[in-house]
Amino acid sequence: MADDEPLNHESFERLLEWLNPDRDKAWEKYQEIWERLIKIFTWRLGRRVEELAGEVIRRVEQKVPDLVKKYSGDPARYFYGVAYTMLREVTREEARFLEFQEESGVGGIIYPVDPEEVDVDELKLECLNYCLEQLSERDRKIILAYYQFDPKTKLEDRKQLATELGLSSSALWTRVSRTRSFLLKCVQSRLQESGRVH
Amino acid sequence: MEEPHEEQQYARKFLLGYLNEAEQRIVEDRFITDPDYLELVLGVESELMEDYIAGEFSEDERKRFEKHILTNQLQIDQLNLTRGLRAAARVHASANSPPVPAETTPIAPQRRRRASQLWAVILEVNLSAAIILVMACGTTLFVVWRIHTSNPQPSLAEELKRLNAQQSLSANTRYQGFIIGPLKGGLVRDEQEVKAFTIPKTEELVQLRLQIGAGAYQSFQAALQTAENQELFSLTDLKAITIGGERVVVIYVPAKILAPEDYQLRLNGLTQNNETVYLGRYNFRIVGK
Repeated sequence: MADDEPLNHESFERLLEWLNPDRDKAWEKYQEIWERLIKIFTWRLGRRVEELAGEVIRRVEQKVPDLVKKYSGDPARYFYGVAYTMLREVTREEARFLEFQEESGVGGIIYPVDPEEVDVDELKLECLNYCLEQLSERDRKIILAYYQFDPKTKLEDRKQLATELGLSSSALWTRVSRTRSFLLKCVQSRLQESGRVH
Repeated sequence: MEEPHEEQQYARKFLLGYLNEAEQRIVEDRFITDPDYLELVLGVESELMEDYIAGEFSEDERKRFEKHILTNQLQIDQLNLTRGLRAAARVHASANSPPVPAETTPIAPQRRRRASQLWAVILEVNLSAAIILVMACGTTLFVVWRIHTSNPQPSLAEELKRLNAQQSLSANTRYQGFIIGPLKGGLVRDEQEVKAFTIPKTEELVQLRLQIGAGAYQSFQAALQTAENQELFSLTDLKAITIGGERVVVIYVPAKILAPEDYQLRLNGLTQNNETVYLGRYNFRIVGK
């Protein structure tokens, strides 16, 4: 969804401009916000996540002309505020729906994804190796070191890694998180190129 | 303000669905007011994915993780990325062990040189270093002696059998342990380069990955020997799998039995007609832990 063509190109451009005058930085920020909106809806609802995140973007997009004049602070917070409002709306709606279901005897509505689908096939690993090669040497070393740990000493290992890199633990996570986002998009793109869209 | 560890525990409870409605709202309120807190929860979710992959959850936690976190394809993609990065990190760590070219350091002559130079080394280095060296050699000999005198040690045989049961070679176990390989086989002892590996002290399991050709074998037999042809163990009924587009036989070995030493693994294939075909030797060196 984040990569889809927005409904209104002009208003979307305004939104990007509001995020950051530098187009590349704005796009990076937008991707970061999008990913966090997905997480917020995933953690609370677990479904319709892209639809709801898209709705947040649309609502904020419409408000941008006012926000430019009146809002100060990190734009991400405004997106999360809208997401919060939407969460309340959706949970209220679903509570009513569940009530109706109980009264009418309709069954449950939660269908978690089958964990059997969770697998790394060989093609994905090959794609991942390719994408790791696209990283800077430093980022590649950091993410491989981050995931080379012993479960029993993971926290200490990562603290030590952060110290060696001259970063705080949270700064290390932020860096790893950004690299993960890049890798995920890169792997998906490679899978699409190879005709293996999942 | 809570301590970071407590905050992580609370975020963990939130993500696994242990909190009631009011408590969930408190967490969500913080997402809006405190972007750092959102980052903290993201980090905790990532750690939960690592724990899930490592099989460290209780049954209840596993079910909650699947119900509350694995709820859509995006989450599954994230989990697969974590699994892939763990695998890549392990392969990277094993690949970074420096290879030793065979033509300059063939196994048998090097071992002879090592023995003949032992006293020279003792004389050259300080006394404490020599004592450490002797103790290390003694420990190695003791481990090998323990393995051979019990011939095979029942618990080791059982452990090897359990580790290499074919049903365990699922996607979940495929990336467990320190990976040695993929090793290239050769028909004679010194025709191949010998790769050296340092097993991290924290690793309890080692995967030996043996490259095999395209031959159609119903199963494989493997025997691990020291450079002096002392057999540590043998296994039958091994199956080939494909990893990274390559056909390999994977053998799981407890890390504790691989002392710093040179090793040869002999591999046979069993044809459809039940004929045993010698497929070659795979040499590797453990240089430390």
